[in-house]
Amino acid sequence: MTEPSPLPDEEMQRLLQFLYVCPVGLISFSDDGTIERINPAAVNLLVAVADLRDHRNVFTMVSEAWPDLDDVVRRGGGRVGTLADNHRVRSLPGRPEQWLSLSAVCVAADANMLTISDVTSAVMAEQQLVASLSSERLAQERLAFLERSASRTAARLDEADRRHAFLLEVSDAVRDQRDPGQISQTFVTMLGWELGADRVGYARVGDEADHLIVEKVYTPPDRDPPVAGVRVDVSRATLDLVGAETVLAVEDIATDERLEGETRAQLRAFGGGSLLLAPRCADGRLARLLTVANEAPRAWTHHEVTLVEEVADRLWSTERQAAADRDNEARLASIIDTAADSIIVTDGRGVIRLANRATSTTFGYPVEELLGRSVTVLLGEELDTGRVEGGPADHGTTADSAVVRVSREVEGRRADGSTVPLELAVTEWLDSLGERWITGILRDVTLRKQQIEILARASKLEVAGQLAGGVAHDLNNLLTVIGGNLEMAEERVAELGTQTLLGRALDAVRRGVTFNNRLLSLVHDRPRNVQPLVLADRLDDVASMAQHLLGSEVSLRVVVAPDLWPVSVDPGELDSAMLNLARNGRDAIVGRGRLTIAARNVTLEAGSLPDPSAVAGQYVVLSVQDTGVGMTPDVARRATDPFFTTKAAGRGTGLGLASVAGFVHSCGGFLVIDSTPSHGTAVSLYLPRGGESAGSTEPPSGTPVSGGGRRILVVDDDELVRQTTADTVEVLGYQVVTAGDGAEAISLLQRDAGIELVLTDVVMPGVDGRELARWIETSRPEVRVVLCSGYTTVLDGDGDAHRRYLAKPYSRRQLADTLASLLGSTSGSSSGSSSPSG
Amino acid sequence: MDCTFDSSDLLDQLESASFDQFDDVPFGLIVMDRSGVVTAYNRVESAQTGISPAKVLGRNFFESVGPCTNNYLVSQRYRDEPDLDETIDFIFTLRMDPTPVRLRMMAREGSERQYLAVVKRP
Repeated sequence: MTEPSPLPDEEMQRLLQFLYVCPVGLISFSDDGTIERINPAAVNLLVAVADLRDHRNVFTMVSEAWPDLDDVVRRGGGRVGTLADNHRVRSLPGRPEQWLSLSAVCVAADANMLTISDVTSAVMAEQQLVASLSSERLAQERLAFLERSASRTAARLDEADRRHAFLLEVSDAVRDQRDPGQISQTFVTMLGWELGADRVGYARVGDEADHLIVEKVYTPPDRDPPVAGVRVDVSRATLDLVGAETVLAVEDIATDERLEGETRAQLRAFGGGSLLLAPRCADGRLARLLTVANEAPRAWTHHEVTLVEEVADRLWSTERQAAADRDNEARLASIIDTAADSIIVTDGRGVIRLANRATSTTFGYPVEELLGRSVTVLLGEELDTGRVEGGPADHGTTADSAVVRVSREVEGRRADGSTVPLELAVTEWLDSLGERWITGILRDVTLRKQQIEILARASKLEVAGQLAGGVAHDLNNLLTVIGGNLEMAEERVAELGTQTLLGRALDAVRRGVTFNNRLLSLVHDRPRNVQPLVLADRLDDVASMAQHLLGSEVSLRVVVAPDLWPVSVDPGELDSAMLNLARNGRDAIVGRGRLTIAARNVTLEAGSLPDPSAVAGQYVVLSVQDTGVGMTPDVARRATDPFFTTKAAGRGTGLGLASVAGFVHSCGGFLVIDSTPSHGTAVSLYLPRGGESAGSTEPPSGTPVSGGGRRILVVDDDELVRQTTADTVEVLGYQVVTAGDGAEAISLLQRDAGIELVLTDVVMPGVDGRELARWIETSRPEVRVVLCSGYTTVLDGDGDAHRRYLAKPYSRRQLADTLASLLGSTSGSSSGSSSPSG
Repeated sequence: MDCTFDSSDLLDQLESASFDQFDDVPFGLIVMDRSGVVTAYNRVESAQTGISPAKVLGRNFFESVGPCTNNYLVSQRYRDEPDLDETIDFIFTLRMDPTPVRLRMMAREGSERQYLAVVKRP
C-alpha cells in the first residue's frame, strides 16, 4: 500500500469537518493512552460509560468500560490494523440505557484510534428476537407435549404407565442440560403442563429456616410471566406441617381444618386456593419444596398426588447429581489450575477444549483465547500419541480407555513469537460416547536445559584442566632438567660467546615456565606472585611488547590517566592478559585500524554497576579497544567461555579471553565486553584498588653458594630430573645421595644417619613424597624435608621449620635459598628470601 | 457586571442583566432561548474558542455549535429541568482538541433565556 498523496487544504478542511460531525465517536491516542484528538460524538457517547473528568488519558477515561484496553494496545505491538473489534458495553448503572460498541485500531506507529458506535437499537432488537424465539420455542414444545399427553390418555394407559411415560419425557428433556437451575425449571414447567396447574413453584429453604425463596416458577402462557426469586416468609408451625408429609394436599385453603392462624395466609403466597406441597429433606431438615397451585379449590386425585411425589423425588435426585457433578468439575478445575505444568485437553480434531492457568503463563495467551483454537497454534503440531514409539493408539486392544505415551521434547510457540522448550506427555482416552480426547501435559524445561548446558561446559573444562595439568607437569619436569643443566653449564663454561648462547637458552626456559604457568593458572589455583603494582610503569612495558604484535597496519595508542591507584596483581599474569587482549584486537582488525590501551580510576556505586557480578568500590579500569569487526551480542556473551573461538582453526585456542577472565576474577575484579558489530570491541578489566606499591621485588642476583658439605638425599622417580637435581645440589656445595623412589629413600635413611635433608618429588609410584615425609616425621624427625612438584595444587600450605614446598621448575637460586633456610647453613646469599616464591 | 463563575446569585444577576451587559461577564457565557438557539455569545467565550459571535448567533447550540454537549449530562438537563443551576466538569472538543472545562448550567422557570457558563479547568 502506498501512502496517499497529501490532500489540498480545502479537501483537508472538508475531511476534518466530516470527522467533527461524524456520528461515530473517534479518539486518537498514543500507545501510552495520551489523547491527541477527540470528536464531539466520542464525548456524547462516552458519557454513558466513562468518566469524562480525565481528559488526558483514554485508558483511565474508559477504565470501567474497557479495563484492559491498555493490554490490547500493548499486545498489538504496533502492528497496523484492528486491535480489538466490537467490544460491547452497557451504560453504567444510573445512566440512560445505552449499548456501545468500541473498537481499537492501530493506525500507525504510536498512533491508535478508538471508535465508539451506538448499538443500542441493534442490541435491543437482538434481545427481543432471542426472547421471542425462546417463548416461541417453548410454546411449540408445550403443544407437542400436550399432544403426546392427550394421546397417552386416549390410549387408555393406566395411571402408573402415564406417570412413567411423563417421567421418561422429562428425563429426555433434561438429558443434555448441565445447569442445575435449568434442570429444575424444565421439571417445573413440564409438571405445570401435565397438571394444567395455575402455578408451579420450586423453592429453597433459607438458611434461617424462616423463609423460602421460590427459585423456579411456572405459570400458564396466558397469565403474567412468572417472577423468580420471590421470598415467602413462613413460620415454624407452617414448616412443621408441610415437612410432616411426603405430599400435603390441600383442596381448599379457606376451609382446611389442619391449617391454623398465619399458616393459612402464608400458604396463599404459593399462588392459589388449592395446593399440593411436596417437601424434600437433606440432613434431616427441610431443603426444598415443590408447590403446585390451583386458584380455585381442586380435589387432587390420587394420580396427581402420586405424580407430584414422584416428580419431587426425581427432581431432587437429579438436581443433587448435577450439583455434585459441578462440584467435582470445580474441584478438578482448581486442581488443574494449581498445577505448575501446562495441561491442555483437545478433542479428536486437535481443537483445544480445556487449558489451565499454567498454559496461559507458559504461552502468554489468556485461557479464553485458546479455547476453540487448534493446538497447533501452541505446538506447531497436534498432540498425537501415534508419533511416539508403539505406533498409533489402538483402543480396541487395550482394556483401558486411556493410552499413555510419555515424554518427548517439543517446541512451544508463545504469543510474543518466542519459543520455549517443552517436555510433552500425552494421554489419549475415549469418553462414554466413544469420542476421542487427548490430554497433553507440558513442562517448561528451559531451566533444566540451561543447567545441563552449564554442567556440560563445566565438565568440558574439567577434562581440559586435567589434560593441561598433566601436560604442564611433564613440561615442568623437562624444563627443570634443561634449566638445571644450562645453569651448571653456564657456570662451567668460561668462553663469552657460549655463555651468551646459554643465556638465551635459559631465557627460553624461563619463558617456557611462564607459558606453562599461564596454562596451569587456568585450571588450578596456582600460588601466585601477587604484589602491589604501579600500573603506569607496567603498561609502558606492555605497550612496547604489544607494538611488536601489532605490525605496521595497526597503530597503537596508550592513554594512561595520571595518579592511577595501585592494584595487587601478579605482574606476569597482568602482562599476559593485556597481550592476550592486544592479540585479539589485532586479529579483529581487517586491514588498517587502531588499538587503544587505556587505564583510569573509577569508583562504582551500588546501583550503577556495569556487570551483575560486580560489587561497589574503587577500581582501576584497564581497557583494550580495537576498531575491528566487533561481536554480535551472542558472541560477546560466549566470548569468555573456554574453547569458544571465532578465529580460524589453528589460529585461536579459545583460551585467551577465558584466561583473562580467570585472571581478573582471581584478583576480585570483573571483565566487561562492550562490542558492536563492525564498530569494534572494548574489553575492560576492572581491578580492585589494592595496597600501596612496594616498588621492585626482583630477587637479588645469584652468586655461588656453599652447602658446607652437609648430606642431602635427592628422591625422584624420573632419572633425568633426579640426576640434574643431584648435580645442582652438589654444585651448591652439598654432599648428595640419590634414591629412585620412596621405599629406596627409607632404606637409605635407615642406614645413613648423616642425611640431614631430603629433597623429594611428591608424585611417585609406590611410596610417594608425602608418605616419605610422614615416615621421616615419625622415624627421623630431625631430618628436614623439601617437597617438589610440577602439580602446583599438591603443594598446599606454607611449610614450617622442618618442611618446605618448592614448585617445579625452580631456579638454582630458589633451591639454594630453600636448602639454606632449612639447614641454616652459611650460604653466599646474604638477604635471599627464605620461602619458595613459586 | 460584577459577578464570578461561582457566585451563588449568578442566575439572579444574569436574569436581571440586559444583553449588552453580558460582554462584561469575566468568564465564558452562552445565552440561549429555551429551544437552545444562541442569543448571546460573550466576549470571553468568543476569545477562548476563537469563534466570532456572528457565526454562532441564531444557531442551535447543542446541535451545531457545541455538539459534544448534546447528551444527558448537558442538553438533556435543560430539556428536563425548567429550574436548573448545576455545575459539572466536562470536556469540550473544540477543533477536536480535548479541552477540560467546568460548566455551570442555569435556567429559571418562566424565563425566556437559559445560560451556559464556561471556564477552563487546569
